[in-house]
This record gives sequence, C-alpha cells and structure tokens, in this order.
Amino acid sequence: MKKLLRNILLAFIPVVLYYGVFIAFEPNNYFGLRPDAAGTGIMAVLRRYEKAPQSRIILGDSRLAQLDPDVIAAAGGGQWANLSYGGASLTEQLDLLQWALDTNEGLEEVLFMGSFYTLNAGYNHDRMLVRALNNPFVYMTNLGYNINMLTNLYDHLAPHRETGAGGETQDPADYVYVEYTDPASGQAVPMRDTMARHITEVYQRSRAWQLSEEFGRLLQLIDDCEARGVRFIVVLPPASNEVMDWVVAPLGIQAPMREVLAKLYATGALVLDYEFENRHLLREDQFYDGFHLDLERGLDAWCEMLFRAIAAGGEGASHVA
Amino acid sequence: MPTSAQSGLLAAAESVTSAWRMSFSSVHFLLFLPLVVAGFFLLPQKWRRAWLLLGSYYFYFFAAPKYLVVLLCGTLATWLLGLFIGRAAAGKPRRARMAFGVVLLVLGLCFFKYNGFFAAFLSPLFAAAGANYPGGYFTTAGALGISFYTFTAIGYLVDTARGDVPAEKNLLNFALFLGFFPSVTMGPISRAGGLLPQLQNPPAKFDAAGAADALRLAAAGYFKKLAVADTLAIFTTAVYGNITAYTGGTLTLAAAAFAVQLYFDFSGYTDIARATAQLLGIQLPQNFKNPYYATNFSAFWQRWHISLSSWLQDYVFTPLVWSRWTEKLPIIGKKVAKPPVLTSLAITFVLSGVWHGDGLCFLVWGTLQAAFRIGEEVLHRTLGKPKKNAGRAARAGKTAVVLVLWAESLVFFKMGMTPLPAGAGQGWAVKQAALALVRQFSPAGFARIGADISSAVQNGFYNDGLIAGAFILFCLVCTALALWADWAEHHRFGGQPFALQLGAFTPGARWGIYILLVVCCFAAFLAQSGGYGGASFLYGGF
Repeated sequence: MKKLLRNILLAFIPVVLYYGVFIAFEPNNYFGLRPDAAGTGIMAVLRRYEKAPQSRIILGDSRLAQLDPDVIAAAGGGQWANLSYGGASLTEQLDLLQWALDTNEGLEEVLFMGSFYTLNAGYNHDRMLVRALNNPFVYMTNLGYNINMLTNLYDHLAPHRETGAGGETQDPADYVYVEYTDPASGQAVPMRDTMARHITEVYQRSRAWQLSEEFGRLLQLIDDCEARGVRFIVVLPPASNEVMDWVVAPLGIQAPMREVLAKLYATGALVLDYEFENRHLLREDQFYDGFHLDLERGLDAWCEMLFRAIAAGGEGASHVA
Repeated sequence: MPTSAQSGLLAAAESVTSAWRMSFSSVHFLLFLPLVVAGFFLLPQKWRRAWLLLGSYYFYFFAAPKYLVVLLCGTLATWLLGLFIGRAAAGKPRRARMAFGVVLLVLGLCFFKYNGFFAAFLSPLFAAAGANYPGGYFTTAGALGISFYTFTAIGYLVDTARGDVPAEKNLLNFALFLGFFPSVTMGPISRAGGLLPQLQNPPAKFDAAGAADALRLAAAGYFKKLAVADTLAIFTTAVYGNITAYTGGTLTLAAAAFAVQLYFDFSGYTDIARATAQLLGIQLPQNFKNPYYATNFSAFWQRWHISLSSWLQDYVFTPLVWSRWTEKLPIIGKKVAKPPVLTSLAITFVLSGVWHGDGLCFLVWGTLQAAFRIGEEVLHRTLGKPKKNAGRAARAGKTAVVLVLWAESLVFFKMGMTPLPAGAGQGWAVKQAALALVRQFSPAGFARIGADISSAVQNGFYNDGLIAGAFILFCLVCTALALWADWAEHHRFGGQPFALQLGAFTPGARWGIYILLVVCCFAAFLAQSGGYGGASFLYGGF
C-alpha cells in the first residue's frame, strides 16, 4: 500500500514542478507573493480592485477597456475603476457586477456596456472569471491563465524589445479597399480592409440573433442597484454605418433591440445609446473597424462626449422615447 | 408532477450540486473515489455494502440530482418485481409476471427517455384542454443512465424468471447492484449472475497488486478520454455545428475523427469504470475488444459495446428467433418454415438505434446497422462464407470496408447528439447528416482542408494560430499513441487492455509511459480549463 502511494506521488512530480513554475511566473500576482502589481490583464486589475475598491466601476468589453482615465477626469467624470476587458460577454459582465455588489459596500455608480452584439444569446461564453478570482484551483487550471504564464515565462527567458505602439489605430495599409460580399444578397461593395474583416466576423456571430436570457438578469440587477442606491448607467457604444447596413439591417436585429431599449429606459436607469440613436455624433473616419474607435481620432473624443453626458445626466445623448 | 414545494426542493438540490457536478473526469470524483475506497476497506465487513450504497447514491446525486428519485423508485419496483416473479411457479405463471415487469420497466424508460419526443406532441393537446402536460418537468434532460440501469433491471427480471439467478431478497444488495456507482451512468450493463454475487460477498482485504492494475487501467482510460476524445471533439463539434462551411476532405476527416473520438471516449469511460470497481475488488465486464480490427459486422458487434450487444442478443434477438414469431403472422405465417433470423436482426438493430436516443437520426443509424448486418448475412448466404485464413491484404480490405461504413453511419449518430436549433424538427438533423455525407464528395484541396482544421480549432478552442497549431500537434500525437496501443492490444496482447500489460515492461519503459500518460492527461485537463465547461462523456446521455 505504501509503495502504491509512493508511486502515485512519483508519477505526479511533473505536475508539482509545473505548478512551482506557474506560481513563480503567473503575471497577475494572483497569490500576492510579489510586491509589484503591474499586470495589465483583467485578473491583475481585479486583484488590485479587491485591495483598493473604488466607488465607480466600468463594465464592458474591448470598446470600453481602453478609455483613458485622464480624459474621463478632464470631462468631469472623476475616478473610475475600469473592469472592462476584451471579449467580455454579458454573462461575464453580470457576474462581475454581482461580485462588485457583493464585495464593495461603497459602490455608488456603475457604467455598464450593452450592445446588440453582447445581448445575443449565442454570444454566451463564460470564462469563469469570478470563480477563478475566488478559487485558486479554477485559476490554476484555466487554459487562458496558463497561456499567460507561459508567455510571461517566455518573455523572461527571451526578453524582446517592444516593436512600437500597438493598438487600434488606422495606418495607410488600412485604407486598402477590398470587396465585401453580403452573404445574404451576394452584393459586393468596396470596404476598408479592417472594416470588411470585422463586419464578416460580426455577421457570422450575429447570424442567429436571439435576445439572451441573461437580459432578465440584467434588469433584475438594475433593480437591485436602485434598491441599494447605486446609480446605474447603461451605455451602448457606437457602431459604424457598415455594421448597421450589413449586419443589423439584413439580420432584422433593429426591431427586437428597440424593445430591449424600451425595457432599459423603463427601469429608470440612465441609458446612453450611441449604437442606434446617437450614431450621428461620430464620423465614419473615427472608427478603426465596425465597433472600435480609432485610438487617436475617435476614442478620446467619444470618451469625453460620454462622460460629459453622464455628468449632465444624459444631456447630449438624446433619445426618442 | 412535482408540487411547488417539491420543485423548490429539487431546484435547491440542483443549485447545491451544480458547483460540484460529478463525473469521472471531474475533480470532485478524484476526491470522492479515494474516500470511498478507504472507507470501504477500513469499515467492518458488515457495513461495507451500506457504505458503498451511500457512496453510489452520493455519486448519482451529484451527477443528476433531479433523477435520483427515479433511480430509487426503479430500484424498489424492480426488487419487488423480482420477488413477485421468484414466488411464482415455474413456466407460464412466472413468464406472465416477468412480462408484466418488463412492460412496466419499458414504460418507465419510455417516459423518462422519450419524454421530450412525446412532449412535443402531447403538450399542445394538454394546453388545449387547459392543463399542463404532467411530464413537462422532465423534458429538459434525460434521466442520467436510465437506459443502462433499466436494461440491467430487465436482464435481472428475465434471468430470475428463467431460473438463472434467484430473486435477491436483500434490498441493500439489490440497490447496490442497480446503483453501483462505477457502472450506473454509462454501464457496462452488468448481469445479475456476474455482479450480484460479488456485491453480496465483497472482498475482505485490499489487493495492492489489483489496485496497481486498476490505476494503470484508469490512467489509460483518462488518456483516451481527456487527451484523445476531448481534443478531437473540438474539431468534430465545430465541423458538425456548421456543416455548410466545410467541404470535401474536411467532412470526410470529421467523420473519421468522430469514429475515433466515440471509440476512445466510450472505451476510456469503460476503462475508468472497470478500474474504479477493481479498486474495490469488484470486476466489471470488458466492453470493447479492438472493434476497429473487425473484418465483418458480425465480429464488430462482438467487440463494440459488448455488454449492450450481448444483452440484445440474449434478451431480444435469440428469444425472437426461437419464438418463430413470423409463423404466427396471419396469411404469410403458414408459408414460413425457417426461424426468422434476418427480420429478428433488423428488429434488434432498430431497437438498438432507438435505445441510443429519441431522435430520428438514431432510428436511421440503427436501420443502417441492420442493413449492414443483414447485407453481410445475405452476401455470406449467396457467395458462401469467406475463408477463415484470408491473406493480410484481404483482411485489411474488409476491415477498411467495415470502418468506412461504420464511420459514415456515425454521421447520423453525431447529428442525433447535436442539439436542435430553436424551431427545427427532427427532420432537420437527418437532412443535416445527409448533407454532411453528400458534401464529402465536393472537391477541396489540401490547403483548404488545412485552413478548415485551423479555423475549426481556433473557433472551438483558442483564437491564436500558434496555440491552435500546438493543440493540433498534441491531438495528433495523442491519437497516434492511442491507436498504436489499440493495435498492440489486438496484435500482441490477445485483446487484453494494454494498460494491464505494463507490469511486464522494464521499469524504465513502464515509468516512461506513466509519466507520458500523466503529462498528456494533465495537458488535456488544462486545455479544458480543468473541466470547468469541458466536454462530457458522449454515452452519458443514453
């Protein structure tokens, strides 16, 4: 029996060694073993937020993740903890909101991103962020965090120089026009390359659009926030004309989204809709692709517009009830 | 139909268990199993069966909380029916009681397994009458393992009526026989004569050598499931989820990949089930004997899901043939002189299809198996039986034909397992399967196939070319290793599991394989993010 147990332990030595490396090189300082906490991943951000909770939070996907805190402050928005990250689904956003409500009694204001793209029942991935935050086992077995660790390890073993500023900024190559073919009608139109690729992806993901059942949970959480005196703001970030013309219109998403918006307005929360109603406030050349604003000529301008509207209680982002 | 209080209780049970859902590939099971084994051997002999039953119901509760009550009722009903049959005089009275019991169990199976199918027709009728369909609560998912334990129960009743086994008087023994946790959810379908005596007299001492073999078998089972079947599933799920996006070679490759996935998924599960029972000193029957080396369908079905095919043979096919039921048919009955072998084969295979699921796809799949088996029988009758010592090339050719027909028929099986989109009827899945088969003939170059595989993996696994490439390489290496082990089992070890031969290897080779299995399983475990959201065992739904 002792021999059997010893052999089992011996067979698992590679796993034990791997986790030694994992703990040493995971970039989010999840275990709090390193004094620095400079990680930029969402897990590192959440760990920092846990230690120093703020009274205002932003929850959204990549469209809100790069909002500049200085621009927000200059627009009279004050200090916000931005808990947005690329590819966040509605389920993940709601889990984070619930977690913030449960753990931060001083929460006063929530800026929550809504969009036809994330309200789609088919866009329902769940990377167990909150579960990973609370359960080290979930964190240590999660594929994404393991890849982050291996990337970090690789960077330590073979340090490389940054090749320049990345991000979503148009360069001359993006002005190469390609032919975008509408899958429904077969009609071909010229379109900027980054835009055409993005429209193709958004169309595929939205093809069988149905309102997510999680929308009911969102309405419930808005009520909970109201009951707790937490100001709730829903923002629908801008979408380009191409998204409207080649995704929303042919797939018939506008009518159900009108109902969704009516329900959101009925909650009494402040709803700032740049996706359908206030799209005219942004020019086409301010977009990098169909959803993302150009970091240099679009994002800061919209960020300022958004936080001025929030400070003014919605003025500047009108809606027709 | 549950009252609101009962519904509340069931909902509470669901919420308690959802975070700790149990299956062989869950962390919960890896914590549960050592506790059950340790408790079993530490407790006095008289308490061991009770401990095992408690563990079995704990396992089932965390696997399918809503349906534990169904298992309990089924157990009590079958135990009483067994006593009822055992007390009757041999012959007609006993057969009548057996028939009553079998019908009752089949009705129960139909209600819980095919409820979704019935609900689609019956719910509107009940609604028109201003009432709710009483089975509505159970329509969301089938009762886990009900097909397996109902067939075990039917086998027990028939064996009791035939006098092959005495009716079990002890409810605890019987409950353990039907609910034994290693086999309750996905078999192997045990016979009363094989399992009940082992449970009545559990082993007195822990067998370290047997446990070492069991752990080797479990490691091989986890390798097949996690490193092979689950990684292939990423590709097959992506392809069959969007058939029109893929063409030619990709769909052919997906059909082959699904055949490999299904085999290693289910045989991996069986290895883990057998290993788990063996840790407790109990032997479960072997369920697979390298079926992909069979040279005809008759041999294939003696090697694939053996516990089900032998069950169908003993309790459906043979009784049908010897009942000479065709002679009792009006008009044509008088013209029939031979036992109805081919028609009984057809009925048995169609029944096998229906057993697998309530969709039309499974009916088509079962019918295809019947056609293959009957076609083979007709060929043998017209052309004569093939030579026993055929050359290697002839054997390889026949194996290839069996494999191709099997893999193509599994496209219907796969579509039967795929959830229907909202508003789609059963016909949709059959059409999709037919479309997948037809589109295999649309031309596509190697570059297109490569791009298809890459995009399927990037969509289903990780959206990064480098990671997806590493994953594909990992999947190929693990699949090749599993196929090699399967080849060695068939050609070198007389069909005995490869894992059980490891004890005879040199220590260096043996430890090399242990480490390889652990590393591959661990990597695959991480690829599924520790099972949080990972794939489930394919046969768990049957």
